[in-house]
Amino acid sequence: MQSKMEYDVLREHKNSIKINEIQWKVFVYLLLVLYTFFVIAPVLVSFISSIRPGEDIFKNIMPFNWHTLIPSRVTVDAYIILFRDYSFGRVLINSFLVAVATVVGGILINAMAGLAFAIFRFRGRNILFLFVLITFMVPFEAISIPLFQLINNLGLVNSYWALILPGLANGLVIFLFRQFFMGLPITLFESALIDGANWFTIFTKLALPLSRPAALSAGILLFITQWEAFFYPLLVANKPEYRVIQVAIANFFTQYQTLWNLLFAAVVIAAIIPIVLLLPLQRYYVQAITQSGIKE
Amino acid sequence: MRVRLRVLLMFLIPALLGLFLFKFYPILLAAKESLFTDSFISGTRKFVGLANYKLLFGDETFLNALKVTLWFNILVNPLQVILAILLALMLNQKVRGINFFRSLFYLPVAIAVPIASVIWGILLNPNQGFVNSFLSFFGIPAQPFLVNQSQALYCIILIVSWIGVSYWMIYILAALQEIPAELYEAARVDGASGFNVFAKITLPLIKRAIAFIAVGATTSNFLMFAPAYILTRGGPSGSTNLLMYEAYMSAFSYSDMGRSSAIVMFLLLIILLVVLLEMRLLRDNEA
Repeated sequence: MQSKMEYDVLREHKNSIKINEIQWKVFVYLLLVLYTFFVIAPVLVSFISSIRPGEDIFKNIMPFNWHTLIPSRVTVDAYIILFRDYSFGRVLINSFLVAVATVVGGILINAMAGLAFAIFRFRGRNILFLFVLITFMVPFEAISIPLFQLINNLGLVNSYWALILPGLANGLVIFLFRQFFMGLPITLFESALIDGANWFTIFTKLALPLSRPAALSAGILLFITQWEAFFYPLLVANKPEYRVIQVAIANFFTQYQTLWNLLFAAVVIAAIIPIVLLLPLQRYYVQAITQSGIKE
Repeated sequence: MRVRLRVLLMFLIPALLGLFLFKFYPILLAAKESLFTDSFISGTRKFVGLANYKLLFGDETFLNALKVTLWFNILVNPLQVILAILLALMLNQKVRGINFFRSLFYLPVAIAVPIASVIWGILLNPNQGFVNSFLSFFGIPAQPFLVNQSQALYCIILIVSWIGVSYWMIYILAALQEIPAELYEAARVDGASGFNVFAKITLPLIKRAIAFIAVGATTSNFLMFAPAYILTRGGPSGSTNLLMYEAYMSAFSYSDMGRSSAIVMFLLLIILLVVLLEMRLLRDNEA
């Protein structure tokens, strides 16, 4: 008898847990949907407005109605005008050139340093590595103005070098490669040496090909950093020939405040490139940025 | 493994030289520059010691920018960190379709602060903006937003948090996903309540990630520049005149490198102090 009562109490308890769980799930869903709306709505508005004629945006904005968000006419004119009349092609080429050069050069030199810190033994290694760690805690925005002075003194203002050079050496990327190479067996390199390979061959033929996962993380990190750079490029490369995408869009906004469809088209282009890269490489990107949160 | 010096240098020099020249030397340069002043008349530079710093504290524009920057950070950093934690906790729930939501929240990573500023600059347009149109649907009168002295800074907080929260969420979510499921199951068997599970199991295990994003948010928000430059030019009436924008104006509009460098050095000092404070508050107690 008693056990039956106990059983009932237990079952009731279990049911109440279930209802609580359902309520909780509904609550979580609701919050997620609301917050998602806040995050996604501006992106959607940007995309939709970029594919409708400029006058249609203004015409339907007040009062709020279905046509505020749902276009009745669709056109890619904004994108065409952007490239034809506002030399947006040049801007994209600049940004790609700077980002790709940084990725290639950055992977090379940081992988070399990462390998050295991982497998070479030398005096002052810990001190030098501490220096590397400190540099990646220095925020780039804080040093952009003095860096401008340095670049100015070197006579490199308004050049691709000004944009590429400071982005190459990267403490976090050295750290990523070092972690990766430390996970490889040292005998791998020793046997290559015994086989008569020199260190240049070992690096290019053995270490670098093996480091693909680290290189992917490093590559996407370097690419996105350059693609989204704004303050420093604004200082050192403000001539139209060398303007990168973020600077160009900021400039475009201050000059043509009312060309909304063109502005939205520019914004969509600027965002779509990292999105296309992040879709397949998201895992590597998350690894790259969260690695920095883990101390040894 | 020991190698010849020549090999060692070949591997280390390119990266270390780059780090020294482009990441470390600029700090020394700013420190040095903050002790000098340019004289327009003679065209020579003069060593003035700490005069640039002393001038700052009698300078109304600087003091206002300092006040704006501190207020901005007092609000924006806790806001971003707390929302990032809540969002990560929600996205860590096992509900159907959660992967869809998760991937949506990576979207803002692809959007840089200048882009976010431009998007919201249009959306928040006082006369014909989408936000006012949306508000009017609920019968709320049109707001001035960025052109109003008492609303502009809060709009910038909204804009930078729009992408910031999702970005910092990634770190917390990564930390949450490393917590073994057995820990939660054990707690459930022991009959621990939801809040207890969070306070006793989850929180200690994501504390390090929280400290990291607190530091990260602090650093980037104290140096926030793009919204002030693109949207408000520090206005209206200096209400969004963040210190980084003031440093920029000092260097490039008033050609006063000494003052600009002093502001940058001062900013770095504040960041260092706040970061040390945060690390102390969020230190692993067990360690």
